[in-house]
Amino acid sequence: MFVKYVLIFMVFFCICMTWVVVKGPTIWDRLLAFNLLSSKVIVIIVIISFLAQKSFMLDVAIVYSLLGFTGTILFARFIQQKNDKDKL
Amino acid sequence: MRDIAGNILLVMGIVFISFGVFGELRYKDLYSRILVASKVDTVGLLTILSGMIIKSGFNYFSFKILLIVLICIVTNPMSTHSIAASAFKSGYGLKRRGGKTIDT
Repeated sequence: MFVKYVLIFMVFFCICMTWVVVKGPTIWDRLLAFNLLSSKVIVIIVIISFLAQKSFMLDVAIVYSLLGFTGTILFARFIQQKNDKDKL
Repeated sequence: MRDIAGNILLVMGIVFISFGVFGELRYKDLYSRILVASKVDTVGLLTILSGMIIKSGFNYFSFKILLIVLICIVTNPMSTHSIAASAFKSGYGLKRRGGKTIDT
């Protein structure tokens, strides 16, 4: 089945993104790489629920995307106010 | 026929996402990383999810995937813009060609 090979590629890309999260020089590199990794995790959840033909697993993907969005924006605002000493 | 169209969309999505991962590993500056990786990767995610919609057909399963596609269209560029604005306002310098940094 062809979808399993897409799953293997996605796991390989997730390992590459984890390497960027560990290595990245500044904190914004890590944040961007984590954002891209969460989008790949959404694809992995959709493919697993397609292989198992269970429709309720897609709710996990919806909740994961919304929580990743709020977490990314909260972290970005928090770091910005920490370093911005002129405007505070 | 529907299976073949879905497989073609899946292959296109894998190619787009591999471009994004390659750009993320290749470039050293933050802003070029954001430019390459985010746009290409968003396109790849939408292409793969569209391929899953076409492969799964017209039922309850594909409507839920369509909901995920709509959420990702709205939220993914917004979070990337938030990261870029946070880096720019915190004083992350733009690199010139000679290697000097511009103060913001």
